[in-house]
Amino acid sequence: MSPFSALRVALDALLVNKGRSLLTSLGIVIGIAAVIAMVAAGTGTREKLDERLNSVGKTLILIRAMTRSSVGLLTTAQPFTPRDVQALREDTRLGAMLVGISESQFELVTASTMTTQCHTTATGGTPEIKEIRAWTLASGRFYTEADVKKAANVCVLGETVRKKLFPTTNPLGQSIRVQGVALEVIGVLAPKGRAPTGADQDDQIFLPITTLQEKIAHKQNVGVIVAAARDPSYLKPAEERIRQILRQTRRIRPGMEDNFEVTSVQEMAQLAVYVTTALNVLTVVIASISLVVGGIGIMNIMLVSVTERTREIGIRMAVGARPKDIRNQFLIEAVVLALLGGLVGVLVGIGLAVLLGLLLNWPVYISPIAVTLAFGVSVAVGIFFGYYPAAKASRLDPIEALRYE
Amino acid sequence: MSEAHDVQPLIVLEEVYKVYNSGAVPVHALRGINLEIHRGEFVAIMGASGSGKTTLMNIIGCLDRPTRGRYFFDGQDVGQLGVNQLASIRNRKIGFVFQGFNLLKRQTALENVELPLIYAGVRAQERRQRAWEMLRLVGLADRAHHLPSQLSGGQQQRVAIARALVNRPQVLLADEPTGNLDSRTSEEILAEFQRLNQEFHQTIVLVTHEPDIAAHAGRIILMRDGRIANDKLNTRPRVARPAQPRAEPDANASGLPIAVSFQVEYPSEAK
Repeated sequence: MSPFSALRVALDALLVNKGRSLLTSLGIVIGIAAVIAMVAAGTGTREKLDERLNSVGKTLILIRAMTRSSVGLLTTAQPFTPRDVQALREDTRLGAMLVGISESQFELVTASTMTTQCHTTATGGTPEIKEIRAWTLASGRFYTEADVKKAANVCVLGETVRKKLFPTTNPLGQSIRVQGVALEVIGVLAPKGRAPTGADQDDQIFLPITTLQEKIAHKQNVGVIVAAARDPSYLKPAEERIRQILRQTRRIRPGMEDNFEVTSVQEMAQLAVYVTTALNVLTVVIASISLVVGGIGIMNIMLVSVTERTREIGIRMAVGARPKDIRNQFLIEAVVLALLGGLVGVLVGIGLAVLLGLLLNWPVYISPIAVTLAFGVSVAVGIFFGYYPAAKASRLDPIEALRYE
Repeated sequence: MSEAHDVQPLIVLEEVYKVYNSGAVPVHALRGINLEIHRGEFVAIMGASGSGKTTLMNIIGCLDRPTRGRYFFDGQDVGQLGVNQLASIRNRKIGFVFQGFNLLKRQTALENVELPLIYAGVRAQERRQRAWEMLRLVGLADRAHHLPSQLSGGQQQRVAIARALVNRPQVLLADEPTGNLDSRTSEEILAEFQRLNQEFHQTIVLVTHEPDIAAHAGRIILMRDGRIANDKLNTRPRVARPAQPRAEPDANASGLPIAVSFQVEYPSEAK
């Protein structure tokens, strides 16, 4: 019997019981759909995360003046002093490993033009912050060392702020008021989008730290120092060195806890990877259970089918079907059933992934490998669970089978 | 027919016993059968139910093997063959016609006739053509695409006959082929058998419990208690007449080449 004839016989038999065939393959449908959807969403999420991490800067080191309590809560600690920053800047070993160091002070401010106003964050820093955070300018220039020295009334706008304050006009050279202080807009940054935390990185105004401290905030409160390693491999030693220096300058005795935190974006990314990995494992578990249940369903319905068609098997044997032919017929039927389930599962899975992507604003990536694998798994399930009923059919005695009512 | 007796018999049974051990008490279905059937014969095996005629039929049809004794079909010792070889003999050398027709319900008449050819590995196009020829031979070409449920009992049995003959078998085995048919339709089917036997020298073995049906054969074997009680030639077989003659031109026009093909096929397959 040719494979093509066998396939046709199998399809005919399945089409007679359309509803039954569909219900039987439901387990496979669910299992495959779950995997496809989760892989699609998972891959999409990871890519999105990667993109965001890149936008923040993969080699970014964040030094925060915070203490971790015994239960893991972060609380604000004594802010960094100019001496802390100075010590970090002057260390030659750090200098070799880092692109730059910049203290940052954040103030929630109201910025306004003659016609509009908005609430945003003013970020005070040194010019190195541009390199550290890998910002690029859309127009104009960034503030300079000279601007910092004289606490110049200049600022650089993030794209979100520009959109709010200057939706139609060119902001360069224009004046805005931040907490009542007039600042000249000298540059606009190219948009970066959201950070992994979800915060809009473009909703910021950048200005010299001196300007912020002396004219707007009227206090020194450096909560964060940012730095960037020249290479991801420098991250660990740089973090270690920073910790050593700060423990000295902040006079922390041996055995005492740090009153600051040094983290890299990579470490944060690691957490996200753990979460997605856990999700993937969960998906595989659910899918496996679903596939096994689906496989048992197929085995069950094939056993029913063999019993129902005992007479047909007898007729086929009488006209010359070998046991092998009968076995293959039912095996192919089981595989086709599983494969149909797999096909529906892939379609449902892609549909779910797209839907999820639209609802949660995730990018969706349909992996060809996952789809291929899904069909492969379907075939395997069909063969594994279809073999017993098929073998049972092939072992029927033709005389008994012909006599079966 | 007489010249056929000179060559090797098609079917030879030597001291064949069949015992069923499935129940509490062993059932001796056949107790020493010796039988020769030659090519071109039309033999009726008669007997009451329980006489062993169906068991004999199953053994002749290679659906079952003797417990003891030897069975040669077409020179081959069937007792030595495995399941696959038995299947192959059933496929190529034996055609079955059953009381209950045993057609596949979901397949058309044409597809039913094609079935043995599928297992013989014949390509689709040739399959279709040969199935058509057979349906034409039994006068059902115009019903080719009907399902069994859309056909009368007589028509269904003719489809079964076409299926049995499509692989040009050495022997046509009919197990109570008229058992589910009224007397008029029975006559039709018997007429079909007589025509196949006379025109194409088709060897036919017919199992029945009705003497009236057996009377149409050229040789009548009477079974009793698993033994052959009587084996005699029927010198004046009853001639069955179809109730209404079929459209002969059609059957003849297509029947001729088939008649030739049967004549040619027999010597070539009887190796």
